[in-house]
Parts: sequence; structure tokens; C-alpha cells
Amino acid sequence: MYKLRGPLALALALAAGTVMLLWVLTPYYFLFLTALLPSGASLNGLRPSAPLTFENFSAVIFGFNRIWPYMRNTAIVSTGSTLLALVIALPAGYGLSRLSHLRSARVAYLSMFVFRMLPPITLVIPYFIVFSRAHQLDTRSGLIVATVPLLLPFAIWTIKAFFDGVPIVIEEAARLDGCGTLGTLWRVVLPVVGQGIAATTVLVFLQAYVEYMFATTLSKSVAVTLPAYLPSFQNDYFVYVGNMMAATIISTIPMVFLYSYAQRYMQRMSMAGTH
Amino acid sequence: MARQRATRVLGQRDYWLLTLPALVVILVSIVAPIGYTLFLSLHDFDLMKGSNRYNGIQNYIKVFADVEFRTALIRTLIYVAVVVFLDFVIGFLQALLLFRLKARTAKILKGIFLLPILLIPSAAAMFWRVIMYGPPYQVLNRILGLPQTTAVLATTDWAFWGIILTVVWAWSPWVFLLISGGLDSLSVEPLEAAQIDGANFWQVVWYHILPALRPVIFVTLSLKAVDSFMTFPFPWVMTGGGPAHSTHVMSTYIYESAFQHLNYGYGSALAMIMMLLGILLSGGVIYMVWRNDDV
Repeated sequence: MYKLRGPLALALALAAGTVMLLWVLTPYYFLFLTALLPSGASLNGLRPSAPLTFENFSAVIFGFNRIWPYMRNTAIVSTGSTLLALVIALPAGYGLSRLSHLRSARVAYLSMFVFRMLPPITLVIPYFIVFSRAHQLDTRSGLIVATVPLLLPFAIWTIKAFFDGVPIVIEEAARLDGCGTLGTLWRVVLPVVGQGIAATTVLVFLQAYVEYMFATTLSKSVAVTLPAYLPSFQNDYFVYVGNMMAATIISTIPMVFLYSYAQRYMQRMSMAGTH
Repeated sequence: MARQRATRVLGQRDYWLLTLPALVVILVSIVAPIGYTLFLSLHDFDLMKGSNRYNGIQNYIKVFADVEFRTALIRTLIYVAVVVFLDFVIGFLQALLLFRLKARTAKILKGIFLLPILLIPSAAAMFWRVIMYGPPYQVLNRILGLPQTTAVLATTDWAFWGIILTVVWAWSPWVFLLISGGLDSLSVEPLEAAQIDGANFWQVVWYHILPALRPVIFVTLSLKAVDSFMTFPFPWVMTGGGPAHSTHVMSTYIYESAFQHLNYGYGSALAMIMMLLGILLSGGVIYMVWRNDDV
């Protein structure tokens, strides 16, 4: 790899590195500190002002402020909307990829890009009113349905780009060898795009997991998901800060796994379709 | 007998059949609701007043006269510019730092740099609001040496910048990730050649790395710009548009009009305007990316 030369350059790099580390880690330090201090403890500098305790975590996991209903809601809504979006986007990505010689298909594909840029606020008003009249507010199924349009354009856009990477000749060869339509897809196409589709699924799931606007607007008590729930400690914020931080940390755990898997593909996918 | 060789495995009609469900879903779940928003925007639909009658383009006339809206719009544009700029500076520096390290150290550092995006955005916003800015903790005040009596998010001049700081902290890792990926795919030879020729680090960066990374940087920052334009969780959770409307960006202003003032008609008109601006913006982005690719 490229090597830095000269002590001055090295010192600058070390300084920059330290600044960056402090920048990232300092807030995290306080996040953890607050989660490990008992409620009502103050923060005076870096030292804990009271003995560290797990009582916030236990309150949030076992005790009076349980996080599980909200975690369950988030799991249901995220998984449901991701699966729904994928089931719709997969064939569409494939179809659009194989039709890309047609102007109409290219227009359809480009419109996905535009839909992806649509501000969610434009959708939340009609969804709220329609859901309200149809008594679908505060339901998990309603949230699943409402989240799909936020995920679909990105999913179609990205999946189509992956299918573009499978030359049609591979499929034709498989057909000539006697594979049926389904067989071709399963044996020949899927192995090539499998990883990309998996990464797309993860990214779509992440978007669903953190979705805030629809979650807060369309839910009240039954279908509240983590992104909508976590800021709501604010009513009692002075007392339950520790719990809120503990809950935040716990809800981060799935993200750790998902991001560590997906981060390799993120650059490829952002560039997908732009070439 | 010569047989026309099919150029596609399935017939065209089959491919369209595969695509159809998606198009229908998009029509029903995106296009139709937008149409409904348009419909609503032409009505005086205000739950506070208890009204619901057609009033043509009056909502739109009101939008053009709405000073708060214009301020929110300008503020949103400033927000986009500042956030994208800061994200780029930080992300690029972090990517550069990684670029020069051995694989294992780089991996650890990459993991650390990615930490902020692991937090759920609304939770990160709440964390900053309560711990970093809010009394009684005000960690940021302590770090920067600001007086304890200054609550950043309650001060009209500073709240906006407080939100920007939080957003940059929480989401610059995304820019870092993409630029870092771009750096990894650069070939080392030209850089080493330049170094042998006597170029110092900054010259190599300026003349070799940056030009090579232009497409990646461009796409990344464009996507970031569009995302920032639509930003909602951070400003809403941290200040709800306050204090005294000094932190309203477009989405929060629209959200407040519709869901707090319960003026769905007016809110819909605002949303339509924002959508048009969004289309212009993303159209500009598409155009620039498309042109940039040909260069």
C-alpha cells in the first residue's frame, strides 16, 4: 500500500487519526456511561459519578420498561415489509433487466430512481388519512403495507443492476442444454446474483428497521416500533435517561450484524445502475 | 429449415408479466397516494376549523405568501450544503487515513469509524438531544467549554447548527464507507509512480486520488444531498422545528402543518411543492451524474 514518508507527514496522520477517533468515540463513551449509571446520577467529566450498574439494562429487559413488545413490532414490520418488497422487486428487476433494450422499460427503470427520491412526507399525509378512515391505524399489517413503497424503488433499482451482470448467453446456453425456465433461473442465474440479492435484502431491511416517519405517524400504542418508541422516553426523560440509553444500545445489536455483512457491498450498490 | 434464434430466453410478454406486479404496486402505493395528496391540496381540509371544502388553488397562493415556508426552504438548502460538505470532508479524511494502513488495523479502524451509523437515527437524535445538549448533562457544553446556562437546542441561533453537528456525526460514516470502497478499488501503481517522481502526499491526493475518485464522490454526495433534502427524524426529534421555528426544514414544517395544526389541506399543498422541488433536485442529480459519466 501507499507509504507515507517523512516524520511530519506521519505526525499529521497520527494527529488526524486521533482527532477522528475522539470524534467518533467520545459520544459513544457517554452513551455507555449514561446507560451504566443509575437514574438520576449526574455526569461530571469522564469519571463515573456513581458505581456502574446494569440496572438500566435489567429494567429494559426484565423490568418495568420492557423493550420486547417494541422489538417484536419492529421485527414483524421490518421483516414483513422487506419480504413483501423483495417478492415484488425480484421478478421486476429480472424482467426490467431483460427488457432494457426497450425504451419503455428503460423509462420504467429510470422512474424507480425518481421514486426513490420521493420525500416520504408526500406519502405520509394520504396514508394517514386513508388508514384513519379504514381503521388501519396502529396496526402492524398497516405499517408493513405502508413501508413497502418506501423500499420498493430502491430494491427494484438495485436488483435490476445485479441481473444486468448476468449475460443472457448463460441463460440461453442453459436452455439449449434442456433447462426449463425455472431450472435456468435456479441453477444458473441465482448463483451469480445470489450474493448481490442477499446484500440488497440486508440493506432494504436496514431501511425498514430504522424507518421513523411512518412508524410514528401511523402507530399509537399497539404497533409502535423501536425507532418511534425510543425517542418517546422524553416525557419522563429526566428520570429514565439511563433506560433510554440502555434500550438504544440493545436496539443497535441487530444493526451491528447487518452492517458488518452489508458494508462490503454498499459501495457497489450505490454505484449500481449509474454506469 | 432455418429457425429464427430467439434473442431472449423468455418472450417479451413474459418479462413484462414479471414486471407487472411491481408496476401495479407502485401505481397503487405511490402514484395514487400522490394523486390523493394533490386532491387534498385543493381543499380547505382543516380539522381545527372543522372545514372540508374545495377551494381551488388558494392553498398554493397561501404557500407562496408563507414566509415561514420560504425560510424553511432556504434553511433546508443551507442544511443540505453544509451537511454534504462536512460529510465529505470527514468521510474523505477518514478514508484517506485508512488507505495507508495495513489490512488488519484498517479493518479495526473502519469498524470504529462506522460506529455512529449503528445507532437508530431517531435514537441517536434523542441521545444527542438529552445527553450532549440537554440540561442537566450537556456533555457537549463541557467538552467545548461552553457555559452550563446555554442550552444549545433551546437557543435560536445555535439549535440549527446543533442539529447539523449531530447529523454529521451520525451519518458521515456512510460517505466514509462509500469513498473508502472507492479508494480500495484504485490501483496503486500510478500513486507509487508519482511518489517515486517526488510528489508529496497532498500532491498525490490532489492530482491522482481525487480525479480518480470523482465518479464515486459525485454519486455518493448526490445521493447524500437528496437524502438530506428530505431529512426528518433528526430535526423533528431534536427540536420539532423550534425554538420559535428556527430549526424548521421542509419536512418538519410540512409535518407540523399537517399533523399538529391539523391543516391537512395546506400541508398537502406544501407537500406537493416539496415534491416538485425534490423532483427538480433529483432530476438535476440524474442529469449531472449522467453527464459526468460521459466525461
